[in-house]
Amino acid sequence: MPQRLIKIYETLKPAMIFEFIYRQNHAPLVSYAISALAICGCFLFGQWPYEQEALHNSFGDRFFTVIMVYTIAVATVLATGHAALSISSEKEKKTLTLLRMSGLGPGEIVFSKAAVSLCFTVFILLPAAPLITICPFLGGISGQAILKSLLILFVSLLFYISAGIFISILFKKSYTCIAFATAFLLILHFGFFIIDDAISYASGASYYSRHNYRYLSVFSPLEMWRSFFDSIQAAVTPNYKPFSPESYFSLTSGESAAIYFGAAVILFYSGVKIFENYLKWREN
Amino acid sequence: MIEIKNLYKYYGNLMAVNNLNLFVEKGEIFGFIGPNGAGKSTTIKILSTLLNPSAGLCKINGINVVDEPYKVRRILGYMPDLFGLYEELKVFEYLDFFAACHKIPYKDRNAIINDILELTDLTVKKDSPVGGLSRGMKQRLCLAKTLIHDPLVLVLDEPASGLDPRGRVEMRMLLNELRKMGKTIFVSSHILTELADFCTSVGIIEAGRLVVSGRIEDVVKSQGVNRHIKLKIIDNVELCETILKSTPEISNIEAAVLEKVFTFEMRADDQALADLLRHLIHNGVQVVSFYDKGGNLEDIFMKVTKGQVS
Ligand SMILES: Nc1ncnc2c1ncn2[C@@H]1O[C@H](COP(=O)(O)OP(=O)(O)OP(=O)(O)O)[C@@H](O)[C@H]1O
Ligand SMILES: [Mg+2]
Repeated sequence: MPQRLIKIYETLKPAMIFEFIYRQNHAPLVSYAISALAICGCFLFGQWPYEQEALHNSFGDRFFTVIMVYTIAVATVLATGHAALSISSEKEKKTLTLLRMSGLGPGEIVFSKAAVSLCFTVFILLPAAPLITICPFLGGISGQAILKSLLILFVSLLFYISAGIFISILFKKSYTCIAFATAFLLILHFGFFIIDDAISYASGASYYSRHNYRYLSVFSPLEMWRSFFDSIQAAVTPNYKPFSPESYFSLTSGESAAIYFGAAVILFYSGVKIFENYLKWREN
Repeated sequence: MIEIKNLYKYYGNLMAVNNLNLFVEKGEIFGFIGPNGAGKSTTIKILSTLLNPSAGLCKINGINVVDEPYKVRRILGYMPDLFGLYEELKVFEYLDFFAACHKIPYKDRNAIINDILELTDLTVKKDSPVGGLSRGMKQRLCLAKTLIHDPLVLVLDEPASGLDPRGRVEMRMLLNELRKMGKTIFVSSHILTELADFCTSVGIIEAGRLVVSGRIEDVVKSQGVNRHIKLKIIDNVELCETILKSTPEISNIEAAVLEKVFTFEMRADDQALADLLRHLIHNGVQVVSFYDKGGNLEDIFMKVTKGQVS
């Protein structure tokens, strides 16, 4: 096992160094990230509130929601975009030929690229970390809820990145990949709602009603985050009744995250398979 | 070492490689010559496992390139004609990155990279960014990258294109150096003189078809092209001229009387050349130099190709 870990590390290291410190010149960003971590550390060293009830009706939860929505939006776009450019830009710059000849397998290349995109996104978003970390001190939200939200964010990042890389493998030009990544994000987030509205309308509901029946939109990331923020509200508000239209079934945010994780694994795997063929025979 | 049998490659309806058969022995420098669009790059890409042949067999060191591309990539160094480099990296980092890709252990990398930098004459540029290198240096860096896993076979697609005369000479010296290290080199070019004096064997390709191939001497002999001889003497210019004119194999004699230099073409093998030289000396011509200028490849090339493109 340690041998394997070392091997993974050895494979990853050049990719990371290459992508971060030098290619993108992230040195300033990295130092920013480290100082942000240090600030977080100072906060954590202070006092972590453990009496949640005592903190009802304070504004930490709302502050957290605002920051988190921003973080989620930026993370989604950045991760998908970066991943969608990762392999296509190598194709475009004709550097992939040399990479192919270097004896790296498709799995290794795809994995390293995914890791790079993940780190890239995390580094960019680290400045938000201190803001998120002070939320429990403002009250209304527990540390556990915050950890859970970060975990969900992490899993959905995995999904976005594997989707981005999948797109990047399929197309040659980076602008095509960006176009498809944008379309993918729009359809994933909003497309399901439109489909649901259309189905409801066809079965007699009024078109723009908020109480339309819910079919596919349960799977939208927006729904996942809505149910997450609902659960935060439910924890701090007595008799909280979230708005939720009828549906055949509903998913908690954890279940949605699990589905995204599964989808990420499938996308990743099929990406590697397609890339394997590409690496074998296609010219770039 | 390199074996190509009945190779075909179609791009749609266009036949880029047409029934190509080749064999390159271990330790040779094989010059692959042909006009633009002849199918050199296509053949080379197939050899380097980057392109699927339409039909035929390619083996490198006995390994089939179609069946086991990853095994082939381990023993083969390929330098494309057009390539991109990671411009933001420094030269050392660039090589280190590829050394890591080839799974060369961390502790060995430094020594290997320093050796290769020395060999390709890039040591002074070790810490310069790749983007700031000149064209020739980039070419050498790409070659250095090709050498990093110590491949048995080097497949180079026009390594000297875009280099100045000095760069060409240096590239040639480098290839000779590599040959001395026991590597088999397959190098393509459309500049004949560049290959003529250091290749051990050549293949000429036109419109996807191999027209001639073999060791240079054999090719010269089999094609029966003239050899260009340059003769410098001290005196007896008239006598020398008569002797040359009376030899039936000799044609196109040009005499520079003042400099006492003759150049002529002769259709002959080595023995006949030696006989001629002995004959001259025997008759009292004082010979300073008697030199086979080469340039034969060019004649062969002009003779066997018709200027077709597939
Ligand atoms: N990807 C491709 N798609 C379609 N046709 C191609 C492709 N690559 C090459 N060809 C065609 O195949 C033929 C051989 O091309 P190739 O690149 O092998 O020539 P070459 O000998 O390397 O020429 P040059 O000396 O200019 O590099 C040409 O007619 C070319 O148009
Ligand atoms: Mg070419």
